[in-house]
Amino acid sequence: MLPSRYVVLAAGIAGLALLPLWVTNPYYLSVLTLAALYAIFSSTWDILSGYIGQLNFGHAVFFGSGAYATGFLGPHLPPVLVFAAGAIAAAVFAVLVGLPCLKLRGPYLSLTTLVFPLILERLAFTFRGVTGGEYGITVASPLSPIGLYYASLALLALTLAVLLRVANSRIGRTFKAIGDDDQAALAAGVNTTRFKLGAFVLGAALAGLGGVLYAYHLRHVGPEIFGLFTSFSIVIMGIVGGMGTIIGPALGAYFLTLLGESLREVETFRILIYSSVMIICVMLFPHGLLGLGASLHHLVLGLRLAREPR
Amino acid sequence: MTTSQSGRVIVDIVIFGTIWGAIYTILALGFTLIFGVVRILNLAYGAMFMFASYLIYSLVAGLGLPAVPSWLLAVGATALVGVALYVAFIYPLRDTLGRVLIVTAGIAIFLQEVAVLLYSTEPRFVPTVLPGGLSILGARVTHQQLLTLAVAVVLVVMLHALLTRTRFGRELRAVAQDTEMAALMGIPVERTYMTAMALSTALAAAAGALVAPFLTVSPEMGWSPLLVAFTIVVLGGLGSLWGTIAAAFIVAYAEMLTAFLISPQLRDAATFVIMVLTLVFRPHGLFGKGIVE
Amino acid sequence: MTALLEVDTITKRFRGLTALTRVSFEVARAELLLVIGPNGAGKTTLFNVITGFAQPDEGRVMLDGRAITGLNPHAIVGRGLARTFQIPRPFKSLTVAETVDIARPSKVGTVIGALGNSGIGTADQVLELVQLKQRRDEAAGTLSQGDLKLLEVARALATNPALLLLDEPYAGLGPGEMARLTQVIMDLHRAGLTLVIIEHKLRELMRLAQRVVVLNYGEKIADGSPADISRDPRVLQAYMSGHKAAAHA
Repeated sequence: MLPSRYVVLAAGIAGLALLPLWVTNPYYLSVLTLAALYAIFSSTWDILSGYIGQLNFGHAVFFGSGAYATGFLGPHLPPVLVFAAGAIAAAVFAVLVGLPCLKLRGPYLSLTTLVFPLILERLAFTFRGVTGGEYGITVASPLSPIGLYYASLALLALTLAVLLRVANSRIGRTFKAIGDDDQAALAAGVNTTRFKLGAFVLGAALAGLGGVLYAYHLRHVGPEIFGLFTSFSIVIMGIVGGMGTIIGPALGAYFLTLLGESLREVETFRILIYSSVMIICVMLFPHGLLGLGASLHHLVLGLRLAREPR
Repeated sequence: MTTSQSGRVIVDIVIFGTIWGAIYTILALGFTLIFGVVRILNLAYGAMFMFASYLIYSLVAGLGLPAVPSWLLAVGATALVGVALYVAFIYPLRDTLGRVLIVTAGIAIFLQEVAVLLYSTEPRFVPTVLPGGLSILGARVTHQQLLTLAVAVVLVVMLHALLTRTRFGRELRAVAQDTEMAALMGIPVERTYMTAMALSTALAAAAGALVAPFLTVSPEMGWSPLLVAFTIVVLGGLGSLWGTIAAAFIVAYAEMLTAFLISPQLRDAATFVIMVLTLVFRPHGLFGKGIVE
Repeated sequence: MTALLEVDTITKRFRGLTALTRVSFEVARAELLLVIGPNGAGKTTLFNVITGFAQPDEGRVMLDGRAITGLNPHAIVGRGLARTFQIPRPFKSLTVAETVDIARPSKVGTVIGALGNSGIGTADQVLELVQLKQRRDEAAGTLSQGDLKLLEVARALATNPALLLLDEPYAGLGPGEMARLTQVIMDLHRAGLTLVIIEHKLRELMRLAQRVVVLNYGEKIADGSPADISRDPRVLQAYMSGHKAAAHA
């Protein structure tokens, strides 16, 4: 008997898979594809930030390197190899970013992770011969829009399944222990550095795959992917959804992407609203939507909240 | 490049490195006040810099007010905003550093977007106070830039005096060293925090107002100063005035070298690289007065 | 027979303050060593240096004849040396059973052997040893102070140590909990585990300890049997007057 969380997840994915039967407007489909991709980015962010407790402000390095790999190699390699390249590029950056960051804690870690995508952004602007400068690189997508929708959904399902499996294993509990108290984990014989690096590589590789699809979806990759706002968006989605739950940030991604698109008319206010939501959430709802849902659930059923939802 | 050209480049680097070094010192000192005294990381620090720059722009270019009163008004108003932000958003979350990081990041983005809405993303130009310039060893330096340097030096001297010779300065340093002890000695810790916040914001604002006439004012201009300030604090060590000054000049010259010799677009990338290298290889800073445990 | 633990002229300085000055002593296998001294004597700092959480400025630490100075804390745990923290540090996101489960057992320890089993079920066996099994599914953050201290011990035991360092395990416990803890320590000692315990509440442990080391102001001022130490004038002086004990010949 599968645990209930997998059943709920499967139901959700199935629902999303059936959606195109009713929703045929290509614009809405595009938004839903984007939402699925952001869900991949934010859930992979969560295994790092919510579980291991390394509040990562530079997740964009990972899916951005996947996207740029697509830009560079797309015309030269078959799509399967492009995906592999995206994952590998992201994994390499995970080690490059992870190693220096592992000794750091708290604000030092966060600011260091913040800075890596900015360095890449500046490099992308400067070496325009290779990267196309601020105009970026045009990408040809091997998939049709509906194909992209299902590919993104499939990758999301895979990502969530893998992350949930890890999160609910002894490894995942070790991640949580490290996040709760790094020193105590060391005293329990846990090689915290290896685990942190492992989490980085796992989250990065999956995000890198998402980055490839992202480049296909936008048919373009440019330096803005390494920009501050992209990185902060992921953080906002994670917080709004509920950190440390994997599913929470995925929900947060859907919520904010759909909210953002529905505010298209008020495009100018979109970022304003995003940042206000971020502020309100972190002040009033630290456990995010999922925490809110859990609280309401327990309130309604009259049960005491034993511990955080996983 | 001919000899005279490369000579000029070197002079440029030295002169502008000096000017930026002075400005960065102010930025770093303001950041030290928050990081070292209140012990939080305020990601909205750069936004205060940006806010003050726009305020000066509105007052001088928009309303046509004279420079000095505008400058004072901008610094004062921004300092008040800084305290208000502290009281409303940072103080309630004081115990969880992660949440303070996130809320100040949110505030910074929010303020940036407000700037975009009010002023658009087009860079703005603030008219200079002192027109004209002169030539130092072949490099063209405007009077405005020299004024900036002079004001920056005066500010640093004033700040040093404030911190070492006044009762307020002593209280500040006591709270920075040992909060519990300071509270036991009767120092009003929360009020000291608020004053530190006001002073910190005022310094960021001062830097912003100083820089506005010779940089362009744009909404995203706050992030580099924030990261530069953090880098300097890590490099130079918290609480050491000479360490901070030295680090500020190192960063300034590194940026100038990169900008003039490699590419102006990579200028702040140089600072970011310094930040990462320092945190990884010398987390206690160049002079060993570490802040990293 | 070589001592299990050898602490050799350890000196540790913090920002101008010398926390430990040339501290040396040995711990034999299966011995129960008590470390006592007034507050601020450097006892916890000593533990931190031995377990790799702090690096000494001089001196070295040998475990079973091999140097462990400079190793990472988790590597030292892997060599069979475990510790508890004076103020418990639970994993608030985990349950009691999960806390014990994520500990990485060393291959050299004696606890698992003493418990008569290895691998599967060990978590519950460890919990049973400290009488926490009935709370196995409760969140670690909700336990009482006494249970938290026992969980600290359980987590350390789950790493299968040959040598266990306990830092003030009795602090904050009520009489019933103290009795439980004493029983656990006696059981472990009888099973052959080597123990080094920092403590103030001396009556319980003076009966059990084979040897006592006394620290004052970062220096070792006495090292002997409990009987000798209770009569040692330097020890009495260190506790009563709080002044630095006179250097001994």
